[in-house]
Amino acid sequence: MLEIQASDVGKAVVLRVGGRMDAETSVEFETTCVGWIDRGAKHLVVDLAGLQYVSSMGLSKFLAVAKALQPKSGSLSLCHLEGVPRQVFEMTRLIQLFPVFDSVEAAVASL
Amino acid sequence: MDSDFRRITLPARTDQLGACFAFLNEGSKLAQFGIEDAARLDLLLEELFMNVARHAYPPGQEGSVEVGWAVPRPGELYVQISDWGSRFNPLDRSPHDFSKSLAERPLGGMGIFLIKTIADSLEYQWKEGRNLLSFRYLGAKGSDGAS
Repeated sequence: MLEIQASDVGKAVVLRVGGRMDAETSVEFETTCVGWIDRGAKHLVVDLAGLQYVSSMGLSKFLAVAKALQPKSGSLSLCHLEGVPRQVFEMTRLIQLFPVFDSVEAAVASL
Repeated sequence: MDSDFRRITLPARTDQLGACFAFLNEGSKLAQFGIEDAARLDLLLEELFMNVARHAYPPGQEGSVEVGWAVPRPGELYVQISDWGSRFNPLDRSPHDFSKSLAERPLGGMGIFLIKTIADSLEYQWKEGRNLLSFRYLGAKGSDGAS
């Protein structure tokens, strides 16, 4: 089960993601992000405070969204990346490819 | 270990992932693993299960996958996953290059790396016409793991 709540805060779209991001549910994350990008969003800030689990399929969705934003000079920032999700981002060195912040406010302020 | 070995046979389809998680969760609880260790175990199983569901059988042919586990002692879980598809050892895949930039980084290839990193031992066998992959998990040091 994956829960996503999105809000447009002007400089960015903030997506609050909770639950489990596995091979089945991670598609919803990518679809939601691509939907915002198609509507012109350049900067996505993903609040992962409620994320309990992410598998390699979930990781690949983060990567795909970041790749889609790169040619548009956009960004995909991560907030509250903790626990096992943070560990898998570190193991795969994906953490080096994303701006990571302690809070949504800090991520939005950096834009 | 055989007397305590529990197994389930499922259709090798991606929509069976939830059933697979539920079955493994029983083993995680019996091994007295906490939330973080249970999540790492799910990660291992998902990678292996999805590999079978997507690649073991030709398109259009529905096959089966057997998942089994045993708890040799609290804080240790032995997991085995097997299929009757074409012979394939996923551990033979070449290592992923994680040093690449965002633009050059491929989307795939992280699953097997995570398995090799997280599992405490991994073994592949081709036995009596089936792929048999097994691993042991002993809990992560410094986590909320085995008590």
